[in-house]
Amino acid sequence: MAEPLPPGLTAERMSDALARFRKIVGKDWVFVDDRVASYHDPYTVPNDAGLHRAHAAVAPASSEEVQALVKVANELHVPLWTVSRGKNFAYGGAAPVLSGSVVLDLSRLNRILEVNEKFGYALVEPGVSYFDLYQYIKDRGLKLWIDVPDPGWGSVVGNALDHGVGYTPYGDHFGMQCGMEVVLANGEVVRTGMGALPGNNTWQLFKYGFGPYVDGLFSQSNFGIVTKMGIWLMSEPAGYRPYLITFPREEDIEQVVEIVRPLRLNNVLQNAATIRSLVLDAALFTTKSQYYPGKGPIPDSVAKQIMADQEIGMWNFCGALYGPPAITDVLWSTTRDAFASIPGVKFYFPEDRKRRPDILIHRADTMRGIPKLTEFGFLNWNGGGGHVGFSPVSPITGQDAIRQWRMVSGRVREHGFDYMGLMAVGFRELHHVTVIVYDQNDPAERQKLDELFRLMVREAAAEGYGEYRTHIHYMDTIAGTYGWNDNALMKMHQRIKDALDPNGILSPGKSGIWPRHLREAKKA
Amino acid sequence: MRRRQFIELTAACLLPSTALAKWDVSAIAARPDLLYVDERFPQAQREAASWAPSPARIAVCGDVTPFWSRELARRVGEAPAYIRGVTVASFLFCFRTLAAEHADLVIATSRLDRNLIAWSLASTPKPEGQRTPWLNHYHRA
Repeated sequence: MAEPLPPGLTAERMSDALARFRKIVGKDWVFVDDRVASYHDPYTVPNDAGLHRAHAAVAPASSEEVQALVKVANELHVPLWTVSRGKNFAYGGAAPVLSGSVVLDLSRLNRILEVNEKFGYALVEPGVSYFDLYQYIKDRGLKLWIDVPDPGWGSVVGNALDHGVGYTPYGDHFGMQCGMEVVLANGEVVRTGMGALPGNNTWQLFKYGFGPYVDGLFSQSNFGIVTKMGIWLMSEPAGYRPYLITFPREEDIEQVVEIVRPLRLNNVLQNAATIRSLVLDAALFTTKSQYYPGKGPIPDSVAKQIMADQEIGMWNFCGALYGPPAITDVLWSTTRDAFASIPGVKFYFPEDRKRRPDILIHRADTMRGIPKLTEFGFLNWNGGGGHVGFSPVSPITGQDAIRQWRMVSGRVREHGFDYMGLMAVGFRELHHVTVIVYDQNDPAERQKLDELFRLMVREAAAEGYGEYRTHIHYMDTIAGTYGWNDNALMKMHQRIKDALDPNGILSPGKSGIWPRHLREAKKA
Repeated sequence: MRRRQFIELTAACLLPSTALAKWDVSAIAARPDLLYVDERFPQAQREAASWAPSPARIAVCGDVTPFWSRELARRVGEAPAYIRGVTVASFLFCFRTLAAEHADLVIATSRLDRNLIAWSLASTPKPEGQRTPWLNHYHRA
C-alpha cells in the first residue's frame, strides 16, 4: 500500500520537503516506503487501513535540527506529527491522527542533560526513556528514585506531556515537570518559567517564573515541540514497604473507595495507589484458556477459581509506605484498621506471597520506580494481543466508583470482553482505566470494539465523566465531549493554534485540535 | 488448532532492503544461540523439544524485561545472533520492539495455539551511528 499524502500536498512538494529534510538530518534519518512501517499503530483499531498512516518519518538529533525541519515544513506546508519515543501503544503508538503526516521522531534527542541529587530533579530530552533515566541514576549510585508508568520503554517527557501517571508519591507526571524548552512552529525557541531569565539557577526548581504559566499549553497539544523538560525526582526514602490488600466481591469497590478518600486526603496513602480488578491482575501471569475454554467473559465460578489459585481478590489494592519505620508503622496500622471492616479483606506484605510470579512482587518494583514491561502480559489473556485504554476520571467517592464500574464492566461484558480495569488514586480524583483486550487480527472484533468504545464515551459523558487521555482514533470524539458553553474551550484552543501555528503544520488533530485550513475543509 | 505458518520480515526494524539479502531465513531454524521457552505451557516444552538443541535454553514466564537487561540487549547489540522462542505474543512483541532500536531483524513466526507463538529471530547490529545510546548503559552495568 502506497503511503498517503496529506490533504492539499502534491507528491512533488512532499518529495522536495523530504529532500530538504535529508540535508538537515542526513539521509539515514528520513524514513520512507517500507521503513515507515515501524511508525504504524501495531494495535490499530479501525478497519480502514488508510487511516492514521504516516507518509514518512524524520528523526532529528538536536533542537537545532528540529528548528530547521520546522522551518522547511512551514514553508512547504508539510504536517509533522511529533512523537517522543512513539511507545504509547495503548493510544496509537507513533501513528499520526492525520494520514499523510511526516512523523517527527524525537527518539534521537536522548541526552540526559542533568541529574541533580541535591535538589532532586533531572533535565532530559524527549528521547530519554524511563529505562535510560533509571540506569543512569543506578550507574552513578545516586540516592534518587524515578516514577515510572507501566511500560518502562516510554519517554519521560512524552509521558508527562500526555498526562501519564505512575505509582510512587510522584505519580502525577505532569505535576512533577518543571521548566521546558519548546520549539514553536515558526522555529523560535522558548524556555518556560525561570528558564526565560538569562543566568538563572532555578529553571528546574520553580515552575511559574513570572507572568502566565504556559507549560500546560504544550501538554496533550499541538502548539509547540518540547525538546527539553525538567522532571522532579524523589529522594530515596529511609524505608519502603509495599503491600497488597484484597477484597472478595466486585461490589466492595464502593466501600473501598469511601475508605480510600480520607486516607488519601490526609496523606496516609502516600502514593498513587491502584485498585485493580481480578482479570487485569490474573492476566499478567495466566491466560484465559488456562481456566476457561468458552467464549465471552469468564463466569463467576472461574473467577473464584482464579482468586483461589492466585491469592488475589475481585479487587486488589496495591499501595506502599515510604519513610522510616517509625512513620510507616503508624501509617500501616491506620491503613489496616480502616480497611479491616470489609468482610473477607486480606492483607499481605511481600514476604507473605509465596507464588512466583506474583502481583505484589511485581508491583513492588513499579511502586519504587523500577521500569519494566511486565504489564504487557495482559495482552496474552485472550490471545489476540490488541488493546485500547478507556480512561474516564471521577471523584474519589464510593458512589462514583461503583457507578463507573457498573457502566463500564456491564458494557464491556455485554460485548463479550472481560472487564480488566483499575482505579488509580490521584490527589483528588480516580482515574478509572479499563483496558479492552481484543483480537487485532479479527475485523469483526475490531468493529465491535469501536462500537463499544464510542458507546462508553457517550454514556460516561452523559453522567459527567470525561476521559483524561485517549487513542489517536478517538481524539475528536473525546474532545467533543468537553463542549461546555458551545465548545468554548475548543474555540480557545483553535484560536491559540491559529496564532502559534498559522500554517497548521504541528500534529494536526492532536486532542481534536485542527488547524484552520483543515477545519474549513471538514466543513466544506 | 490448525497450525498457521508465515514468515514475517519484521516491520519494526527499519531494515534496509540491502540487508535482507544477507539472510537466508530458513537458516534461522538451525542451532540457535539462545532458546526461550515459556514453561507454563506444556505445548511450549513439546515444541521446543522437537527443535535443534540450543546451548542455552531459558525458561521464561511471559515477561521479557529481566532477560533483556541480563542477556538479550548485549547479544543483539554486539554481534549477529540467532534466537528462538516458544512464548506468549507479548514476549516477542516486547523483545522485537526493544531489539529493533539496536539491530536489523528478520523474524519468522508461527502461531501454535491461542497462547503460544514459535519464533526465530536473526539480528545484525546496526552501524554505530544508527543506535540509541541506551544499550551502552547496559554494557556498563
